[in-house]
Amino acid sequence: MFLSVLIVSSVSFLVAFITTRLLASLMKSIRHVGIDVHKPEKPEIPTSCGTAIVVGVVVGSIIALHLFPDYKYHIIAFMLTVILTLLIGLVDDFIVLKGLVKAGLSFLSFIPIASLVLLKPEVFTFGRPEVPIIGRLRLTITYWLLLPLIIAGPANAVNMLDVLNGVMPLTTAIVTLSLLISSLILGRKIGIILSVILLLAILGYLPYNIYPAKVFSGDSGSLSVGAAIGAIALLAKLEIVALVALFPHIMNAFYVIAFVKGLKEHREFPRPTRVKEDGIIVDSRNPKAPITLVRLIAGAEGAKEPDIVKCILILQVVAFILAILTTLLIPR
Amino acid sequence: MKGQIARTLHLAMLMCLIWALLIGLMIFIDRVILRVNIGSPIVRAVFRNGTSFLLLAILLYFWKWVTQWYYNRYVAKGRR
Repeated sequence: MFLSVLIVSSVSFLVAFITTRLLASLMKSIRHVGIDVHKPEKPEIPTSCGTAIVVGVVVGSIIALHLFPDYKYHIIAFMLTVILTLLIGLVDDFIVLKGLVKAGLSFLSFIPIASLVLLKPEVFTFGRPEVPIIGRLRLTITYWLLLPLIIAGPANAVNMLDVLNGVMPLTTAIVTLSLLISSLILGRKIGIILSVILLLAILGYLPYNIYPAKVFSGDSGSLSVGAAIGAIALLAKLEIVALVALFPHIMNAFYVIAFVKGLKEHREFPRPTRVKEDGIIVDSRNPKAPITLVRLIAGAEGAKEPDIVKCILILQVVAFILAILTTLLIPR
Repeated sequence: MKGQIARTLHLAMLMCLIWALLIGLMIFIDRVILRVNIGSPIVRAVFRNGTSFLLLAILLYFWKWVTQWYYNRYVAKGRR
């Protein structure tokens, strides 16, 4: 198992690393760029390059299909979920969608896993998520109602926190690491395989997106990474662990939804922060802007972009510890 | 930077509080609400789901209220 996991992870890392470089050149040549609003000089950065993570995940998953044939249906469902979300993200990157439409479309990405449950119930069934101290929760019909949220929730939450250089790959790498460690503790083989594939693909992409970013993930990258985390949580039955590991993302998304009273694209409400000439990010003090994680951390005195990223990472490390604690509290 | 670190630690504490409340709520739902027996299955389902979601909504409202209070008290005024 160890050697197979090593092969799969090396491939997904290398593919993501090489593809990011190629995509950056391609996006630059077709002028598909985004403006880095948190830099005083406002540079144009090639966007939608988070697609490279999905390419890494898909290639890694195809190899995993051959190395782990017992889990072929799980891996296919995982791959299809990520690809479906990538397509939704790419549509949003090229034709800007309204917040509600984007969230609505991302709800469809639960279809591959729901199809697996309906078509192959002998291979995979879900429901009754594991909760610390009490064990399996008695959720059956309600679980089906919540199912679209388990994929669309993380997808949109990760997308909403992808606002500063390196935040998305750094935080999601820690989330995936917590899923990997939890899978190791609970002996979930499928969780180990899928987490390793995703983690290494994110790490292959990370050097390009870290401050100062040479590429942007775009909605395609952040939505699909979030959906991949949700799919791992579902397939490895780690729903509550993933919920806890994603606390900083959920916190940020919850604040935005609660304060703007609905699902809205960031272009549809005033900016919660502004950038001063020296590159310091400060609270915009606009009462109509939502309270976001970056706004709460930056405050009135403000901070440089890498410092805010470090603060978000501290929060992510705390969420990681809580997620591992949650796993340890699950009765075995 | 000192102010940002302090606020991050405050947010981390809030995160730990919400985590503890969430686990407490799940235990309460499993041990108390899901064990309430009502004759009619429809009324039972409505009671169990309705009460569980109501408690979750109260938790979310508390989270929002604490954040709003914290922002007005420590962030908007530029105080630590």
